[in-house]
Amino acid sequence: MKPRSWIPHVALLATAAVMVVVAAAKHTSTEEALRIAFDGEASTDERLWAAHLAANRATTREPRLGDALVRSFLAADDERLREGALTIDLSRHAIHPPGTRPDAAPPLQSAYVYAALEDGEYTPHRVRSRVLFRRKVGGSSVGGIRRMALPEARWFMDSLRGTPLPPRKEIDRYLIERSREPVNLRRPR
Amino acid sequence: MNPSAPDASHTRPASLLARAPWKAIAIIALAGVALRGILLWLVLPLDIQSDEANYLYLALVKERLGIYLDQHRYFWPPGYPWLLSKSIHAFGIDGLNVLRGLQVALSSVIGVTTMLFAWRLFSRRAAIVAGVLWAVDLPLGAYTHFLWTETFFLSLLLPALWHFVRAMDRADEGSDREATLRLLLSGVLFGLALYIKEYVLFLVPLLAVVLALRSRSEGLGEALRRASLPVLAVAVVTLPWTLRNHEVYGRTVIGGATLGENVYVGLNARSMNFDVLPLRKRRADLGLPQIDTLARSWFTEIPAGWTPEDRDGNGEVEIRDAGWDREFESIHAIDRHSSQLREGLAFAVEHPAWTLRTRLKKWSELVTPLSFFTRHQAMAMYPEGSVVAGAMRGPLVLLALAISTLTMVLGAAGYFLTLQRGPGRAVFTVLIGYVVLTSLLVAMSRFRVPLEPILVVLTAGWLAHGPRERSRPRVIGLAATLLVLVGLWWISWPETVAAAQMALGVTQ
Repeated sequence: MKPRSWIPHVALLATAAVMVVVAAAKHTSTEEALRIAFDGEASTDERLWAAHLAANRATTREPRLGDALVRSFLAADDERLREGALTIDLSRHAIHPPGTRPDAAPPLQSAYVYAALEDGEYTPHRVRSRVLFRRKVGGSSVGGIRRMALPEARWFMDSLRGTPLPPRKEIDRYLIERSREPVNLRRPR
Repeated sequence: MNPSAPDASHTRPASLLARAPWKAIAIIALAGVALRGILLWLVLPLDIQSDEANYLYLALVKERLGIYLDQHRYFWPPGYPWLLSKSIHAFGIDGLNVLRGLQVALSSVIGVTTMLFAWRLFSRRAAIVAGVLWAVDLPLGAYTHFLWTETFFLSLLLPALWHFVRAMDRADEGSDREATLRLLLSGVLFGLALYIKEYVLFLVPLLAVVLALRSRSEGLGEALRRASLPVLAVAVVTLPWTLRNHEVYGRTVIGGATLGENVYVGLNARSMNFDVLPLRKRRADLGLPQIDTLARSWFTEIPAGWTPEDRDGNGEVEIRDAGWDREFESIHAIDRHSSQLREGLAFAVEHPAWTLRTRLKKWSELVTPLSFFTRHQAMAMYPEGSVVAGAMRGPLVLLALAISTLTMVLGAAGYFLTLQRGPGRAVFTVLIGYVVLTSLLVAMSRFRVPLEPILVVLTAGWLAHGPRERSRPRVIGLAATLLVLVGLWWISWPETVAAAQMALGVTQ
């Protein structure tokens, strides 16, 4: 390289140009993203990513996402898709019945997460659902109230690795204790 | 070179300096890493709190669903949650401790760079003093066992600053090729740091201006060539993330988006001090008065003329009811910034006296002798029965308080009376100014972390050589700075004492 060379600048600009071209070539339109998100034939990863795009590109609450897509995901056989309905992406598009408090939790997701336990025990999916929905950041309007604590993170990872979870009594006792933490003692960052 | 004699590096080409004392640097760096490793071993098992929980949540979602979410009120850069997700993917929940171990190892980069700065700006002896100070710098070292971004961030930021300074040195000596390579490397490191915290987003352009001004004697073209290189490198390194954001949101977001929420927190009626706010629950448990009731109210009270009403409808009239609320129309954090910024600025302009008083409070919180180590102790986060929470608790807390205090005082002395003109002083000045100005919005001890290695370097310079410049402006500058520092400490003194007592365990 010669002294006082502009070659590094040119190389950086060329690299940037290549990245922009690649990104443009891989672009998914919002219409296409919506189609894939609802497409039962598409893979779980494709549907999750498409929902991620559609939910974040929409600048106002979108009923197709907050209601129809949530129902579609929650009705899916695949547990990952059902869990994908509980994140902030779709929770912020929740459609509330008239007269509901503005900070009310997303109704469809709440009903799913708090439904009675099948066979009386927490399945790995139920534990993950609880953590994903209740421990997200952002406040009650998106379903998250309190930050996650270490036991929940451990259960989440155990559930993915097939490690047996604690008995229902222990999980319930823990969750009840956490729900009793005074709300006005907000945890800061 | 006589190790005890102050060098005159500001007047000598850097290439003529003796080679850095690598052996001493390596030994001290290893010692510092060993101390941090022992500390980590002593504090485990460690629970998570505050942002640690949020980072982990994002990592769990990434692990399970393969997507990176925003945080509704914030949009953080993805680097740290990504590292966490990789670690828990490989090691399960033990991955948290693996990452802590990695942070301990990575802190060596911070230590080595700190010593290199001291060597470059002062002398070999100052480098050794800086190394020893860094090794026992508990407020800084404690971040290696927290799941906060600070260790990763500093291990990118400091080398970036180092190569930036060395590039200016080499350019001054006429070694353009090395200067260009170092500027490129510096930009790449700044770009990587932006994946951890978007904090440096506006720092790089400021540094580029300094570089251009220092290069102006070489002609406009050369000044532009040098100054644009790190900026361009940052842009290219962060471009994949920027393009990803454009694909996901359909809008351009560089780094992250935290300004809107920080304006909500920082330019609003409720005063939030994040070094003491988390102590609320524990103080309630201990039957102690809440710390905010102890604060000097003149610096925190709501603007005159405001009568709080139950604006948020939660059944209680609180201070926050006197301010302004988050913007609820926009559903994404990235879209709330401009309106919240407008609200915050309007609130500040409407209440100029309140704005001035509370900004002094922010600066007071920036220079508090408290740290997140003392906060962890005050919250009783360290495991009961461990030596860190038991026999060593008092001495460690006192050490943390003393180091924070001494490095601010002696660092100021080093800056004004020992540090001489040159690229290092220019870069340090920009960084200090940047941290001080950005802390006008939200401040806490954690926001001082980018300055702590710099304060260690300056303290080491002072301890190794004492005053080398005694010109009137410099002496006045030091006297004024110390006066302001003491004044700022006085502002938050009641909260500092209460939090320190909790950390020491003398309130129980």
